[in-house]
Amino acid sequence: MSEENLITVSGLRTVLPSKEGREVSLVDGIDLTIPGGKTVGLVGESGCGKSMTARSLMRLLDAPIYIKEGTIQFHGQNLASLPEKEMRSIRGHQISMIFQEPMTALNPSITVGKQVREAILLHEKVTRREAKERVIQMFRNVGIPEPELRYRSYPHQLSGGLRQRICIAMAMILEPEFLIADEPTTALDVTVEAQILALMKQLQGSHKMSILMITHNLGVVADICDEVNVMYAGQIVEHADKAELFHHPLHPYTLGLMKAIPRVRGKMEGELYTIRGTVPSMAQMPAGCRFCDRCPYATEQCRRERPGLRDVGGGHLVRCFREVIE
Amino acid sequence: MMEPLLRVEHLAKYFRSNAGQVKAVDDVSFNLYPGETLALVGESGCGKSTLGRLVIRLLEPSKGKIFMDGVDLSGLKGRELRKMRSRMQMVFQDPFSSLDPHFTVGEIIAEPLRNAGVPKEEQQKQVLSLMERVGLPGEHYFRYPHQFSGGQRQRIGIARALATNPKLIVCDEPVSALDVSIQAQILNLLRKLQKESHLTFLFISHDLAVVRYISDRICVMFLGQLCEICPTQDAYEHPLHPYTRMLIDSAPDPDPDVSGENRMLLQGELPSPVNPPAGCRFCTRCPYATEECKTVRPEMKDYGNGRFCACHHPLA
Ligand SMILES: Nc1ncnc2c1ncn2[C@@H]1O[C@H](COP(=O)(O)OP(=O)(O)O)[C@@H](O)[C@H]1O
Ligand SMILES: Nc1ncnc2c1ncn2[C@@H]1O[C@H](COP(=O)(O)OP(=O)(O)O)[C@@H](O)[C@H]1O
Ligand SMILES: [Mg+2]
Ligand SMILES: [Mg+2]
Repeated sequence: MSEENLITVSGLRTVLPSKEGREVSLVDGIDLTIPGGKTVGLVGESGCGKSMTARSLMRLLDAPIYIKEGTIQFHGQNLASLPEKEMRSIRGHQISMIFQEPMTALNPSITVGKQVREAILLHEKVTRREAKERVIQMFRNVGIPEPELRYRSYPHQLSGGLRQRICIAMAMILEPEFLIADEPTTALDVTVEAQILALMKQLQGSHKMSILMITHNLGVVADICDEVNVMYAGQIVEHADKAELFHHPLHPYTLGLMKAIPRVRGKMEGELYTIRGTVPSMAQMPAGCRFCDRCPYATEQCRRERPGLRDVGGGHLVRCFREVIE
Repeated sequence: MMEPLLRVEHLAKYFRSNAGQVKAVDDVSFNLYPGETLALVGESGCGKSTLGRLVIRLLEPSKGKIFMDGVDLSGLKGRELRKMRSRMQMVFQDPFSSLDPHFTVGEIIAEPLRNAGVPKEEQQKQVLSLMERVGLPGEHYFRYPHQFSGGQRQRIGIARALATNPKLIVCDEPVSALDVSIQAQILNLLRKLQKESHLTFLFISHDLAVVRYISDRICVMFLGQLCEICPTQDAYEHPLHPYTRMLIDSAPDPDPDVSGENRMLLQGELPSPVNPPAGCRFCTRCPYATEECKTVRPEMKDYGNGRFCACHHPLA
């Protein structure tokens, strides 16, 4: 385990108990490291468990879903088993989160300035006036025009892009070391998305924080991440540095995704590649590799045995039996 | 030059809102040629869906005219209108809310046939053949929409749109709600169907990568008006309107070696649709805007080779 990792997640398993006494693993034994000052991507299609992973890290799971196994190491503490009271002082302070739909994170009946100010007053002993000054400064830092005026706006009076900037300001106001961004630009237009991604890069540079960037969009990963984890059906199936992942994708799922996306730039010829079939439901996973029913390379072994995550060199990890063809 | 299937002239749609009148579509003209895919792109709220609904007469225009095969649609009534309408269909973004949960797949696809007075025995035969064309197994005939995944539901929506043998299909963000692996399946299906039946598509999307893959020509829209119409390749390689360039440059590309440096990104906020800028609507966000742009609305000019642009200071 490297010293510079801010967060080290080992064997995280988050489960949903069912009435019949069976448990469904929504997050199925995830290992994840977040180095200090880096942006790590978690990419995968809807339902694969990205938000569940984020909520597990934040300990924001809705009962009866709970963390059954695994550890989340953060400054010598295991967040997976930390009492809720202690977790509360970490949440929003050292670790904070932004969501896909900013409206869900904002209270519609309180002005946005007050909401962000409350976050300061909850954690620090400062006067209201000082807190307000800091909020306005932060609004300015995240590119909100006329911050004094916006301070008094209600969420519904702002555009989607401005609302997301408010949420980023709220997440950043206590200078967290770790920011979890769960599809922060998915609901926005590409023009606004580009602005928000540029803002996140700039803030990370100035605040030296770590970011876990959750997205279904490989374009966003290419733009903003240093390392990437590809998730499929509750598991991480590939991990590598960004350049390595895009230049030498190894898992058949990653390969398929890359070929299935139309491109804005560069060459594009013939038909788009399609990954056959659909994701298996969490309750009915194949016995062997979870991707085997959709995989063009699947063998008998893939249907029988579950592949582990193996290192093929240089920290490039892949959950697949297939020999690497250079 | 080929005769257009559809000619849209000075089309406008105004809505009343609490804040005042919204000119959702404001003086838009374009042609749609048989067998082509014309993409309609622009940021949310710019009027794409409204324009799509106007085209297939789900909405009455406030101004302007639409001609199909030379016939003025606004003059049609009753049976004539119904007949013309059955040749235009729509596929919607949300395969979850656009299908009635109380009907079986067979009934949903048969509905337009029933409306057209096709006899019962004949309906079932046609539905099964439609299901086959869109890649739905026939045994799904008696299932309900909730038993299907998003991609399968979109196939149901497409089969229903095909039932009346339309010439024109308006696809309003048909793959926006789908995961990439499913999106590719639906895009390839649309291309296959187009080839088989010589369909014409008006393809509405905010995804510029999808549009590059699927369309022959592209219409770029900003705040209710068209900025540029051109062959798709031209828009991506040498756009004329600054907004076209900025829209395309904003789109993230899954290539780690493309650096952001040469990209032209939009600044600022979208102006209010109730109070759009006089002159060019894009002038408040345009780096090239001059006094003229603030006061004089740019005309759509012909630049040859199928390229049209409404800008006082085009890029090329
Ligand atoms: N509150 C919940 N109760 C039960 N199952 C849930 C709940 N939230 C999510 N799930 C299930 O957990 C799985 C992972 O969901 P999620 O983490 O939200 O996926 P993603 O964020 O990757 O789209 C999905 O199968 C989803 O249906
Ligand atoms: N039925 C309606 N009543 C009032 N305003 C509407 C209505 N439909 C659309 N609008 C407004 O018209 C504009 C264009 O909307 P729309 O065509 O849905 O845009 P797009 O599809 O490009 O996102 C928006 O400002 C929207 O709020
Ligand atoms: Mg999610
Ligand atoms: Mg729309």
